[in-house]
Amino acid sequence: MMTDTDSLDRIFQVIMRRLVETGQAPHYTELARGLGREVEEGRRLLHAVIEAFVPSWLFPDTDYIASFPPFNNLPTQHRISVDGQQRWFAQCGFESLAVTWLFAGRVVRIEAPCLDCGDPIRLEMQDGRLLRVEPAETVGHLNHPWTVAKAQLPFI
Amino acid sequence: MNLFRSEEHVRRWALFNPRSGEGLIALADLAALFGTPSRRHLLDHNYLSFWYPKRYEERRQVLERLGRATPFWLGEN
Repeated sequence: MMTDTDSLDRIFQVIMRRLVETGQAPHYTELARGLGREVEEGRRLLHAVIEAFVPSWLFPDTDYIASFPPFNNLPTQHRISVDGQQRWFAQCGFESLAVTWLFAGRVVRIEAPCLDCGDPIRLEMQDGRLLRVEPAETVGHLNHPWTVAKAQLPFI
Repeated sequence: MNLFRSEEHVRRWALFNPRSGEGLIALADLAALFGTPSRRHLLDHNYLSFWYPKRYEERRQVLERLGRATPFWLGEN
């Protein structure tokens, strides 16, 4: 069944805005209720938006949102705090640097353990600017070639 | 797509892929790569239909500017 562009845009916004507000993605029953649609239509639209927004994915073989970048709906090592509240997780270290654009004018704190030694990495960003980097030598790393293949996305 | 305390930590990481040397990137470059115009409009009502399709080309342009427009970084469309 075809899904119209307007519905996909609306579903996308419901999910992204809920994540920004609460750190948690909605269930498809909530998507359906929010759009005044039947429950099954909400489920179908969820799958359609995940297919359209390639870097997102559902938990395998379920209807649960696992990742909707820049956020992750399951805990990751990339913890995000805004105004002193740690409510969010980033999909990955790279996407953690995009979270700043969802909190205009506010300081976004990113904390993650180094995967080599477990010691902390702390960044602060505001409107795209890096305000603080600890340690100063912190780097990003892409371990495998960039891909948009959903099955591989959690592992690159 | 992880953060490490330094390049030395990347290379010492138990899961480090020895063919991923070009995968190292400075934070300022990473902030540029994830700060393209489409990233700033995630809450626009037409994000998925209007802004999201621009991502690949934006990313390609930044990678070109950074001297990283390689198959490793460009990947698939």
